[in-house]
Amino acid sequence: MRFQDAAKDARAVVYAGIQADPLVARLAALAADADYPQRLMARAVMNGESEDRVTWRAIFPTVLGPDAPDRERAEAILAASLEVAGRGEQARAQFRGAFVEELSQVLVARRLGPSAEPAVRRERRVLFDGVAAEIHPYDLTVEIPGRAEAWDCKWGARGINADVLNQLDDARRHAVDEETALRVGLVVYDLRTSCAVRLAQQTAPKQGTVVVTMESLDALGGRKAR
Amino acid sequence: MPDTAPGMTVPPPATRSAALAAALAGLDGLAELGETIEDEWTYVTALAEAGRARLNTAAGLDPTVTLAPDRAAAVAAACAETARIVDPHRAIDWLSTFPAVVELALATPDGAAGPRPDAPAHGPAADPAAS
Repeated sequence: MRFQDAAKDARAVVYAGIQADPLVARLAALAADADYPQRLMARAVMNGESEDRVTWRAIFPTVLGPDAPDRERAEAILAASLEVAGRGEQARAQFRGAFVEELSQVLVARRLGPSAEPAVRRERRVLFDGVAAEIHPYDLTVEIPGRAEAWDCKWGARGINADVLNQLDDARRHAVDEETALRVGLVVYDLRTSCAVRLAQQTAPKQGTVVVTMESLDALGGRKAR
Repeated sequence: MPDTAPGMTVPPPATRSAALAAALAGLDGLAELGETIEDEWTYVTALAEAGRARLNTAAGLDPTVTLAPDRAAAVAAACAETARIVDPHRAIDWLSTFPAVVELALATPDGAAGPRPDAPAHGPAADPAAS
């Protein structure tokens, strides 16, 4: 098993510009240390129609109200989420996807520690002897021998489909064939309930695939949910 | 003084049962819109069912309990947000998020009906957490 950069097509070049936008990194850094209610608020705002703070403060009194814990972070998340929401429908979708990837990278790197940070990579292919390379690269890989990981990142449960599940499971099985460990999974910035509903409707193999949802993001970073 | 905040079209519900009724109506509106995406009909239908179960649980065992004004306003504002959504794809996204938002608004200070990130999922197990 080996890892390789994915060739960049025109779409990937455009998307790379979104991924490099400072707003993506700022929002991911805020969300990495957020609690569940703050993360839920971010999802709602980035999904919502309203672009005024007054509405969201009304909807989330326990997150943005005067007595809310860590209110400074919550306000910063609200501001960044509104910036994403204000980018227009197409850009908003791209920013949300880039945000989940960046957040996943921050959390996985945190779990593995600073020395492993160079081994946490983005947009990489996983290659196996005698097996044709998959068309889509993985959003996030951990390239440590014996502790390798491959993750796909999704904004919502609707992103879970047969293609995604098959690609992850194929990679896991090919690694087993080579007597190499490869942990595969999905990071979905959506509710566990929604992912459960979506997964229940999929016939593709999923038993060997870890699914991290909004409620279990802290575990991705190596700590218990707060 | 008006009964609703600026831009709000749903009056704040006084009790948990009124909040549940308003939230279920909002959920049904999202589901109806989301169902227009034919490829997602099965998912939307199942998601709406899970959402109803979640809202019923969030409303708690005693539906006559009076809501604090900020919580009542939160449910009304969340329901009003559902009414603003006209895009069916966004409706499906909100169908996923909305029950959890209402759940958070109905959470009591002692957590009696609050969200529990470590609680088991409604429906099939989906989330072997990372370790």
